[in-house]
Amino acid sequence: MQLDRLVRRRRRGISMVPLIDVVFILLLFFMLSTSLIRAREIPVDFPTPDAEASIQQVRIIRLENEEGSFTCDGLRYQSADFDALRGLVAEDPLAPYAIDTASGVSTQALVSLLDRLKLAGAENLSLMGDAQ
Amino acid sequence: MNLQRKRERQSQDNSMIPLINVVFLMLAFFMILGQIEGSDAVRLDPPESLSRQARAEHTATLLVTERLSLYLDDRPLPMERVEEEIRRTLESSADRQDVRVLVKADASLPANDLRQVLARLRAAGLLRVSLATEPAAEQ
Repeated sequence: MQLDRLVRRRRRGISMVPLIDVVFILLLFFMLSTSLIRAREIPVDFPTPDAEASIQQVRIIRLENEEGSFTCDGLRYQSADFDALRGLVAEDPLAPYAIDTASGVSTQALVSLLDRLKLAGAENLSLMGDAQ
Repeated sequence: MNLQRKRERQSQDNSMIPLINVVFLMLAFFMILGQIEGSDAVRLDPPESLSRQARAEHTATLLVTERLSLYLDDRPLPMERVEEEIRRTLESSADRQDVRVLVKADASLPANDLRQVLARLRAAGLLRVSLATEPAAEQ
């Protein structure tokens, strides 16, 4: 009697095994195809000739090497030296800065310099247009 | 005897339930938080940056590899034709301000080469350009 009831109950219930199979496959798919890193971007500005001439003189920063040393107004700075960087920007925070790069400097070094200058308070950063 | 075997199987099924719970939770986590992205035509390693600006929708994506090969929306593009293609994109849109191009450059690409590409984009009359970055690892 009890055996009979048990058998009937088993037949009525849904077998879990195919469900687990499907869920595992779904899990594998989502784990392999999704990226959890949120992609970011930085806007790129070019100095516009009119703005340069009319508002202020553009300060040119020339990134010299991969370690982040650069020259501005004839003085040499290290981008790792944050106090010096802040001092430089504090002279005129709203001045437009155009960044020039020496050959052999990578994009990563350029982006790091942009980051540091932004952190130091520079607001008007742009890249020099012509590469050579 | 038969009854006992059935009970055993049922108790095995019951012990699977915590596992299924965990698997369901993981599935929900990946489905909700993950973003499915199509892969690029070439493998690139964008520069790391402290920028917190999330990547927005773009009209076109320009890939720039370490060796200065260009791909516009995953199609190879010779350097000389960049301006032409960008101009065509600009002409086909109603408002120039709406055209946004994402430049995805490799971190080890020489910065001068990147500036050369950006100068071409500017020469084509493009107003809004962004550089793709990734969050810095240590931050």
